[in-house]
Amino acid sequence: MLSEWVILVTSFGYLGILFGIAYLGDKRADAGNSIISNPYIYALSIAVYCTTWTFYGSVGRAAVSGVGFLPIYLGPTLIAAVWWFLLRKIIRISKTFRITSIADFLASRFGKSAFIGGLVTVIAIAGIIPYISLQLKAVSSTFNVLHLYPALERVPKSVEITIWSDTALYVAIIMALFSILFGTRHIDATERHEGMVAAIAFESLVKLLAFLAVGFYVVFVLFEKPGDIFSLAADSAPMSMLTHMKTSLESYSSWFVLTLISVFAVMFLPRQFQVLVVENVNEEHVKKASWLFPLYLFAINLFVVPIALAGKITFFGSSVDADIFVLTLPLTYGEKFLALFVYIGGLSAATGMVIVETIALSTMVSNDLVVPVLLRIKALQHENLSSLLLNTRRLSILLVLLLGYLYFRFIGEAYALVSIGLISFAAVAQFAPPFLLGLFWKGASRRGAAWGLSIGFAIWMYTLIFPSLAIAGWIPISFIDEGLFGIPALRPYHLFNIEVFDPITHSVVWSLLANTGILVIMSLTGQQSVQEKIQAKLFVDVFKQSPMLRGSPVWGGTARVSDLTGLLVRLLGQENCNRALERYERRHGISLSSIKEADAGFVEFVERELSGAIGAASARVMISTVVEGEDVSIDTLMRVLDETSQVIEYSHRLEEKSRELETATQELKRTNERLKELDRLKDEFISTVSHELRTPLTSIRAFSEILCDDIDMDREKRRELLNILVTETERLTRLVNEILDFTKLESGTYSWAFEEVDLVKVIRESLRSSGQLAQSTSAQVSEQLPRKAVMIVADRDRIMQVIINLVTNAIKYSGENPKVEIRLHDEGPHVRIEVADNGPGIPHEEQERIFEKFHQITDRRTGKPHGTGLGLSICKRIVEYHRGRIFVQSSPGHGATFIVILPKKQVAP
Amino acid sequence: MPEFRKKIERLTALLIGGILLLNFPLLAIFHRDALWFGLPALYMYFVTAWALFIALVAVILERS
Repeated sequence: MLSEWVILVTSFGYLGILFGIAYLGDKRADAGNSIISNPYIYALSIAVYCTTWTFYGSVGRAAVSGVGFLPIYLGPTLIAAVWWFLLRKIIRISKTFRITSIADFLASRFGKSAFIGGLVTVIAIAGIIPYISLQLKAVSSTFNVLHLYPALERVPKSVEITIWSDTALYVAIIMALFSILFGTRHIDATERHEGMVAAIAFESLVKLLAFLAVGFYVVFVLFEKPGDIFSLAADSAPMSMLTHMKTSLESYSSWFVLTLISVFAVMFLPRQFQVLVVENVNEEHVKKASWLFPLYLFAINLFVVPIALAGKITFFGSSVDADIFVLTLPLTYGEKFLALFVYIGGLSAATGMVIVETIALSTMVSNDLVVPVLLRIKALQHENLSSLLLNTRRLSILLVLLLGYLYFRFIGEAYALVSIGLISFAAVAQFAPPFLLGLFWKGASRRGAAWGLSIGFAIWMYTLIFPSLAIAGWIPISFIDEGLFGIPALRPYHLFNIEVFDPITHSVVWSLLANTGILVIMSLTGQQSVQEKIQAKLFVDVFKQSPMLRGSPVWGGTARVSDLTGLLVRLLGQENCNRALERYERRHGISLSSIKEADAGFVEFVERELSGAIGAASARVMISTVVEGEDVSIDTLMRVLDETSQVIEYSHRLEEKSRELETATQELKRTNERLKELDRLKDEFISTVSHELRTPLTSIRAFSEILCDDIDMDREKRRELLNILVTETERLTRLVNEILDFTKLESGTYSWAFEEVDLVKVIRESLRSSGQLAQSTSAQVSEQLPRKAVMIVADRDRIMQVIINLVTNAIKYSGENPKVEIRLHDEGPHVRIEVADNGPGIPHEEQERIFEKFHQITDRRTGKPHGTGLGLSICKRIVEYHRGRIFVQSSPGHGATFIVILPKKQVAP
Repeated sequence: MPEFRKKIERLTALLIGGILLLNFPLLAIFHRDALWFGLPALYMYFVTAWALFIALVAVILERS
C-alpha cells in the first residue's frame, strides 16, 4: 500500500532524529548543562519498559485472553509505590560503590564474587537474546505488512528471505551503530549516557503518542464511542469472553505469577536497571517517577481492549494476526499516514529497548565475562587496557545484536510476541531472590546466592527453553509429552505431575521456589567470608554510613602509590587517570607525588575507580595483584565497621540530647527571669505595704502618747485627738482589708460567685452605700440609668465594690462642690458604665499609671495622698477577671470619666 | 524523620492493598456480566482501581 521507499525514508529519517537528539544530549552534558536532569525525562526513560511487546503484543494478547495482558503493567504500578525507599536504597548503594550493572550489583553484594557476576551475565544473555530478537521480528514484520498490505499472504517467513534483503538485519546494524556511538563513549561505565537517555525519553513520547493516536481513531472515529465497541462485542459469545477472565485456579495463579514477574522485570531487566539506577541523575527524581511512570503505563494501555475488540469485529473470520491489529485497522480503513505513524511508534518501541538493552548487556559481558579472562592472560599483564576495554564493549554490542538476529531467524518465528517476552521475564525473575534478600538481610551468603541462581536458571532452561527447542524440532518432541527418559514426573510442563499451571507459571513457581529456598537454607547453615560480611554490611546499612567509612582499612597489606596509579593508567588511560588523581588530591588536600606508601583510603579509592570501569569483582582482583600482605582479619574489620556505625549512632543521639538540653536551658532561663521579676515585685510590695501601714500607725502612736502623757488635757482637745485616732484606725483597717483583697485577687485564691444580676439594681445599691460619704461632703450624685433591667453575668459583690470605689473616688477627688454622675448604657453584647466627676481631672501621663498598684495621686490642695493606692488596681483586676475593660478619659481642669465595659455573658472562666 | 516513616508506612499499606485488590478473590467480585456506564464491569473496575492507585501514590508522595 505504502511504497517501500516512503517507509524506508521515514524510518531512516526518524532514526536520524534519534541520532541528532542523542548527539545534542551528549553535547549538552559535556558542556555541563544536562537536559535529562529532571524527573519527567527520568520517568519517560523508565518507559523503555514498554517495547514492541506492549505496542503490538498487548492487543494480540487481549484478543486472545481479554484482560490477561494487564498484569504486566499492574505489577510495575504496584511496586512503583514503594520505589521511594526501595529504589532509592538501590541507587544510593550503586552510586556509593560505583555499580555499573545488575550483574555488578549482585557480584558486589556477595563478596565481589566474579562467579556470581559471570553467572548473572549468562542468565541475562540467555534470557534477553530472545527478547531482543522479538523486537527485530516486530520491526521486520510490521515493515512487510505496511508495504505489502492488503496482500498479507505475501508477507514472507524470515527463513524464506535471504539475509541481505532482510530489513531486520539493517535495523540491527543501525541500532548497533547507535549503541556503540552513544553507549561506549566513556571508559567509566558509571558515567551517564545522557545522549542515549535523551533519545530514549523521546522514543517513549513517540510510542505513547502513536498508540494514543490509533486508540483515539478506533474508539472515536471508527466506532464513535467506546460503548459501541463493547455492545457490538457483547453480542457475540467468543468476543464477550474477552472482557472476562477464566475463573479457574490456573488463570488466577497465572494472573498472580505474571504480576510478580513483571514486578521483578521492571527493576531487574538489565535495561531497566540501567535507566533506573545507572542513568539516574538525582535520587529525588524517584519521587515523581513513582507515579508518573505508572501513569504512562495506564495511558498506553487504556485503548488496548477496545482496539482488540475492534480488530476482532473488523477481521471476524479472516486470519489477520491479532499482534498487528494496531497496524491493520488503520490500513483497512485507508488511513495510510496513521498506519505509518503507528509503524514509527513501533519502531521507536523496538529501538529504545534494543539500544538500552545492548548497552547494559555489553557492560555486563565485558566486565563480568571478558575482563576476568583478560586479567588472567599473562601477555596482557603490562599492556594498556583502556582501549581494549572499550573495544570489548563495542564488540559485545555487536555480538548481542548478532545473537538476537540469529535467534530471530532460526527459532523466533514459532512464538507470538508475548510468549517470548514472558520467557525473558521468567529468566530475569531469578535475580529477585538474591537481590531483594541481599538488600535487606545481611545473612544472605555468596554460596547460597550462587547455588540458588544456578538451580533456578537450570529449572528455567528445563521448563521453558528445552521445550521450545523440542517444538522447533531440535530435540525429540516426546521430551515434552513423556518427560526426560520417559519419566512422567520429569515432563517439562508438568514437573512432579502437577497439571494446574500453564507453562510460564509452572516454570516461575518451581524455579523461584528452588532459588529462594536454596538461598535461604544455605545462608542459614553456611559461613560467610570476611569479604562477604563487609559487603553485606555496607549494602544493607548504606543509609547508616557516613563518608567516614570510606577509607576504612578493608585492605590490610601495603601497596606503593606508583603501582596503584599504574593500574589506573592501564585501565582508564592516562587522561582519565590524571583527572581521577587530581580529584583525590583536591578532596584530601595532599600531593600524591610526595607519598610512596599508599594508605588504606587511597587503595579503596583506586579500587572504586577501577570498579566503575571493569566492575567490582575484577577491580578486586586487580588490586590484589599490587597489594602485598594479607587481608585484615575479620575481627579487626568488623570491629572497625561496628565502631564506625556505633560512633555515628552515638553522635546522632548526642546531637539529639544536646538539642533537648538546649531547649531545657532556654526554658529554665525564661523561668528564672520571671521568678526574679516576681521576687523584685514582692519586695517592692512588702516595702510599700509596710510604709503604708506605718504612716497611720505612727500617727496613732504619737497621738496616743500625747493622750497618755497629758492627762489634764481639756475635753475639747482630747475629743479632737480621739477623732484623729478613730480616723487613722479606720484608715488602717481599710488598708489591711484592701491588702487582703488584693493578695487574694493576685494569687487567684478568691472564689468568684458568678450569677445573673440586674446591673441597674446593683448600681442603685452601690449608690446607697456610698450615700453617707456623699452627704458628709454635700456632693451631688446623679444617675442616668435605663428603665428596664440590664442583666449580666457577674460576681455581684465585686461589681458593687468596683462601682463604690469609683464613686467614692469621684467624690473624694472632686473640688469644692462635687458633682458626680453615673451612667449605664446597654450596648448589645456589652454594657458600659461611666462615672464622671467635675474634679481637677487627671493629667495625661497619669491616666495609665493610676491603675498600677500603690500609685497614688497626690492631692493638689493638701499635698497628701488620699487612699491606699490599691483601690483602682483592685478594680482593674476585677473588671479584667470579668473579661472587661476599665480606663479613664480626662483632660485636666474638666473632670474625669472612668469607663467600665463589661461583657454580658461570661465564657466559662 | 517521623514524617518520613509515616510516608513509608502509608506507601507500604497501599502496596499491600493494591496487591489484594488486583488479585483473587477480590477480583472475582467484579467478574460479572453487568455493564457499567455501557462498559463491561471488569474493564471498568481495572481502569478505576488503577487510576485511583496512581492518584493515591501521587498524593502521598507529593503532599509535603
